[in-house]
Amino acid sequence: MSKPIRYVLVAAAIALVGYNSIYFRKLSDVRNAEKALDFDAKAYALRFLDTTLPAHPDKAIALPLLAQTLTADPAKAFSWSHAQNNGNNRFFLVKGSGKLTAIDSEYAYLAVEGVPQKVALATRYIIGTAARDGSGLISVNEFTTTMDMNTVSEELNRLIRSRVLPPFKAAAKPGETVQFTGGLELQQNAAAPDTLEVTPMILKIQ
Amino acid sequence: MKKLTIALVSMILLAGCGTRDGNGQPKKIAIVVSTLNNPWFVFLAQTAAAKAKALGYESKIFDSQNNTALESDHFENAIASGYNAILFNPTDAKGSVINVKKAKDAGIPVFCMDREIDSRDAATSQILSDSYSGCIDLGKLFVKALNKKGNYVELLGIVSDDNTWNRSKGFHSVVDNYPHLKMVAQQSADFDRNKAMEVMESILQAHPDIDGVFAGNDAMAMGAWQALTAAGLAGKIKVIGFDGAEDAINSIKEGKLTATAMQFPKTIAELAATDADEYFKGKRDFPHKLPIPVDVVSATNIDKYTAYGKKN
Repeated sequence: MSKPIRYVLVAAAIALVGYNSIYFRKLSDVRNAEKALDFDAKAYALRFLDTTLPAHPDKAIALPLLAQTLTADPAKAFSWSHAQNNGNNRFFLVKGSGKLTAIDSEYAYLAVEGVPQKVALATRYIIGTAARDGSGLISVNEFTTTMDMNTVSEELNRLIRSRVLPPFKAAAKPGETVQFTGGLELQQNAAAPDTLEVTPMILKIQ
Repeated sequence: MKKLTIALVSMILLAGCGTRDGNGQPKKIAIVVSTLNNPWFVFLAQTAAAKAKALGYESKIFDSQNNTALESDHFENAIASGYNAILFNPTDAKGSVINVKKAKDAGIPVFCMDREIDSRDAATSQILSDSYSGCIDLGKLFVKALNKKGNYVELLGIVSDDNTWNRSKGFHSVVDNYPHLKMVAQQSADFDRNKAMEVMESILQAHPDIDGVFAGNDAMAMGAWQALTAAGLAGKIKVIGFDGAEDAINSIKEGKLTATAMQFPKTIAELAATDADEYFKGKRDFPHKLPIPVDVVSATNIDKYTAYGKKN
């Protein structure tokens, strides 16, 4: 075989191998593709608050029943609670209605018939995982990473701050009756506190 | 003859399902941990090995030295050497998935301990500290300790580890609600004590006026404490860690560190070894992820805790 033909064949082989070994993609395309696969915690939280939660009213315990059972039979009361782990902090989804007795910069206080404790609806600091975990409808095993599940908690709290609270805070006045559904965190190894702090998820002034 | 055959087949099947392999030798469990340069992981690995031994298995500990390439080598070795299960503390949430999949393809179950991999089905189970919830509680304590105002520094762990971000996000989900708490620096120190000391020294040059430090683990909290001591600031600044390591618990007792979050490495390691045992005996329906609660430990409840757990 003559030298020029050999060179052409070698060059063609190198070009062929090179062409199949190296390829270029726009960085923005790669990032967008990765983004498309990312879990959308905000959409999940919106769906949960707007659709999933209202479709499961049975998941919420009437607060007077919970309050009475906490005194009479704490083990039974805590059997209605949920959490992602088996620790001391447990979460409930509670519902009820009560008369608005006072409002300060952090809470709206309610007197709920059948509940000896003061009920405080959080209106400023929406913190923790009560909104996510109270109903037991969200499980760690449905997420690829725990980060995704934790981001859902943050998005739920954000939605409560941005959508649930503003209309309530604008309209609520002492003396009015408020219907609520929300998350409640209690410690299993401690007595029920004097004030039950509820993270509001659905609020209606009657 | 028929009865003898049935008996032999039954013995072979039982050997395959129990604590011994087909040759009558104890089954082997590889314990692959991210690093043995941190006492917390040494305790995790040694507890897993002790539990495996108590259950009748041979085990060997492999140190990945926080290096995914080395971790990959350990998996190759474990697969080639005929290990029957791997108890695994990953180095990288995303990068470690491929190793777990390799083991799964080879028919070897992997049980993750403490650190997560970003996959729901590659590992047989993942037993993880609930870092996010723990750091919500630490965040509440931090807000109270600083009286809702002041400048603070955050030391992050390894940035490719999910625990790093679960801890950071849990903390910020509380602290960011308080506008008078200002984070003046956020830097990674890779969960390493010496690196944390260097990072903290450098941060103090630019920000000597800090009131608090939130460190993603106790090793970094102790490193930060050393830097603060050298700068004459120890005791004036609230330092919070995460882990429940021996030196952090002692430091809280001595009134130095403000708090830590107690993980329970004994629970995690023993559960992982027990899962492997149950897997060998035929169980398959393990929860993909099992969060283990963590407790906040501070001066108010330090008497109930010891290094790596609760007092009996």
